[in-house]
Amino acid sequence: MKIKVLKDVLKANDTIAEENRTILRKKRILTLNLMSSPGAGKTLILEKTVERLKKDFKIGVIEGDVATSNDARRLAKYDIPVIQINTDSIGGACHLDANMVKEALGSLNLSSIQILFIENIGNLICPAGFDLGEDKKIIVLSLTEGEDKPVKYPVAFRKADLLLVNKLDLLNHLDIDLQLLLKNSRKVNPDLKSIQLSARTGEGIDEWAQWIRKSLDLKKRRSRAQGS
Amino acid sequence: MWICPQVSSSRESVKGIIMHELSLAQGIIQVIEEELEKREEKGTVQKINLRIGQLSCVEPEALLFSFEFCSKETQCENAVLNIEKVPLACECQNCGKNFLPKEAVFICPDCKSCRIKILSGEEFYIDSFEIE
Repeated sequence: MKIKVLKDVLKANDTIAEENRTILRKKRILTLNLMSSPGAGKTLILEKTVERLKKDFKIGVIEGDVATSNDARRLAKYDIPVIQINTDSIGGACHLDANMVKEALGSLNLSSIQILFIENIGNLICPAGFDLGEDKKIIVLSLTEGEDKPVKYPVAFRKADLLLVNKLDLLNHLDIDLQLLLKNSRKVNPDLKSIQLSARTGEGIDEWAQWIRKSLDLKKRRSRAQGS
Repeated sequence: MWICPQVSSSRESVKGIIMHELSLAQGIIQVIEEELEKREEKGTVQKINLRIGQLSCVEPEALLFSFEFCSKETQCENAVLNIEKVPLACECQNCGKNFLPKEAVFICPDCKSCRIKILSGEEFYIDSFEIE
């Protein structure tokens, strides 16, 4: 007997992601999902961002790694709520999924958070396929990775709302063509905005912080307009 | 210290297999078990027909391996996975041309625009399954 199903296997994830999105909308929390390959500098960017925004906003972080709480510890020193998700207990999953985020949201006091950062697992491939319920997907690419990453890993770049080009302080020490990198990113995603920064020196962090402030304002206005 | 207890998924722990396809194999079994329960069907699943898009980042070999592992002691044990690959199809948002991209970066073959909409090729569907 043949049974017709026609069901999207990823639908289960999308349904939970929508639940997360609804919860986060009600609480008016701006949620940003940071994706990159390992070592692009996501955690240091977050440290600098928290330093910059902490006095004005209540910030929370969900950290995703296959193993260790090293990154969570780096962020916890800023006295903000941090949840570490380790996927080694679930087969070392190479991405966060909506269910993991849902469980993490349950462990956070959402009433005391205005901006929630989700640092996804360092991987330029799989995280792009899983909606977590975030407002924006941010892709971090460091200059040491080469200018062709957007065209080599187009799926992640295609889905991103913002590109952070990190390690700008190394620009003059590398044979990298920054303009070509940006051109490649627009080839994959013509509307992709980019901010160039160095988490190490702090250059560009202001512009990124400003982008976050604007996104939060926009979200608040939209929530008010929708009456939720 | 603000670090909360580590969050672990409620999914069954499967140590030693590290791959993306593992979660997808679990997803397939979950969907089918729900369908079987809904129909109060006790039979064993013989074949599962999947439609997998070229751009869905699924490696069929890894999926077969993961499925074999995850399906043990379920109604899906020993079921054959029949995978139909769905090619990537795009539409140019500038000139409206439909085309099948040959490369991972999508550029309209006619007007060279990069403003492209994906029509198909991202899906990961269970089309149907067969039970005995």
